[in-house]
Amino acid sequence: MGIEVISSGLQTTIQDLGRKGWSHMGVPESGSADKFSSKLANFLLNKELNSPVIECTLTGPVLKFLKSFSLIITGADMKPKINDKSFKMNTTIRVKINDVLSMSNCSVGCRTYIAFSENLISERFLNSASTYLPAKLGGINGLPLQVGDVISTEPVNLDAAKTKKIDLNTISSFTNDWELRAMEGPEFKFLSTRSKKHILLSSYTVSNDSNRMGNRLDGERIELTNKDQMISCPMNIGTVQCPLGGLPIILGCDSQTLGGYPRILQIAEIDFPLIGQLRPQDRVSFKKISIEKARTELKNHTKLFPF
Amino acid sequence: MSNLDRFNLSDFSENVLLIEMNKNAKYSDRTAVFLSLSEYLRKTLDSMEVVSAEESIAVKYNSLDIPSTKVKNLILDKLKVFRYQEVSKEKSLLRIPVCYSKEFGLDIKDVASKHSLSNQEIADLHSGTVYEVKMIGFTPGFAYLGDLAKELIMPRLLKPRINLLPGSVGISGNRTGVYTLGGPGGWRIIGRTPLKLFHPDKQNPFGISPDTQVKFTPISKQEYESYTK
Repeated sequence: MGIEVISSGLQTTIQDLGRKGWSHMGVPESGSADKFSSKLANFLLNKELNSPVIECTLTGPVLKFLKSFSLIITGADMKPKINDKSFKMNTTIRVKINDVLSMSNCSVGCRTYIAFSENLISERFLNSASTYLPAKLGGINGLPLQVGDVISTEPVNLDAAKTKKIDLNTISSFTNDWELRAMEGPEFKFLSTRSKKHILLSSYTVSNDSNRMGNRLDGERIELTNKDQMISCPMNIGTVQCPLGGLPIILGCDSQTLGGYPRILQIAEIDFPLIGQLRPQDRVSFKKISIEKARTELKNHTKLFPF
Repeated sequence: MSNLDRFNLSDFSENVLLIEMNKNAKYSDRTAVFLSLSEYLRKTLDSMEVVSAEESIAVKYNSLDIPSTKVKNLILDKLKVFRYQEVSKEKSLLRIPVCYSKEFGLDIKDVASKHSLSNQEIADLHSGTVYEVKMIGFTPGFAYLGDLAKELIMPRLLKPRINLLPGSVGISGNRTGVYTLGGPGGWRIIGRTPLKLFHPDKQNPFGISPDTQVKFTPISKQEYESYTK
């Protein structure tokens, strides 16, 4: 007994930080699509950063509490309310038995995270609770939350002594017009001279058939000079693949581990969380970043946030 | 030729390195070399993720924990001592029963007409080879097996299917494999196996590992059904 699902939302799943170390067996990393927001939620609650959270997509769920908890909501603003009373994002709130959390839709960003003071109990696969929908693994029966589901919870010791304070004002805000920092991918050389320039100048629209596996982009088609069928190569979160049709795909956290399309760009890890916040019809452009600078950005980030 | 001349090391991103093979490195079976090298690296490199494809390996590391130059030197040291041996390990043979019926083999008709073969001949050719694992990836536990008999080689479907049933056995180019989980897939389907190859509840969830050899065994529809009971 813990949390009852009154309304499921569009695609609400249980996620943690994923299953690393298994990509050689074809298992994607998975976990929260925006790992920054998911870690932030747990951090603010003094919980282990890897604790399972609820990930909401575009439209959030309605949840009824069968216990009292503290909870916190991060990520895209789905205008959360407790018993019809609005409350602030990124702020811990106390809820009592029979309180109802309702969330609507967000207009900027795509995913919202709810962390609780108790641990969510869910199925585990390879040491992770993350729901991986294509193989129905983790979460509750490997599926998105359904009306009537009850998520059990168990008390957990919260580590009261937070070692480091963070400044919530330094969290970058979401937009409908994103700039993602990217490096040239191994097959960047396959692009025509024109496309090599244009890919950094033009902006793309996130297509409606995007999901946790990948964000398909619409816009100016990229010209490939080498159209031979490639031998499958290792892929990564943030790899921008370009099929022969010329419309790129940004791979997400559930993406396949190997793939056969040219890897034209690679998004810098510092911007991985933003990939999870791309919503259909958002605009996306790519800004070149050097490998060195990408490392420095990661290092600088850890000075602001200890995760 | 030393290994350092055989392999190229380059940055894929700020925390992924790519190992590729030099074009003039002579190995009879490059895929086997990569599988063997990736296993060696996985065993000897701490807290790094090593993913092997047919002609390249990605090594993922955390650039905040270990500088990239250090990772590169570590890998170069490993490459210096790595020796590929043709038969390095005892392999276990896994027999996978397959029903090559029209009902299960959604594309068996197309394969038959393209190559002027009967369904029986397709089943004989497909089940007449002991396959090696060429790489594992795409989805959990999906093994690319090869080489497929030349007489069966077909390109992928132009439009992948959205939802294959679990156990579907497909072919594409000179590879064959089992869609253990079902789901989307662009390979031509020639049959189905009742054997489960993915066990999420077991200690080792994966039915096929790089050390597995695979032989398909034709079964009838009745045998298929008695298997699933």
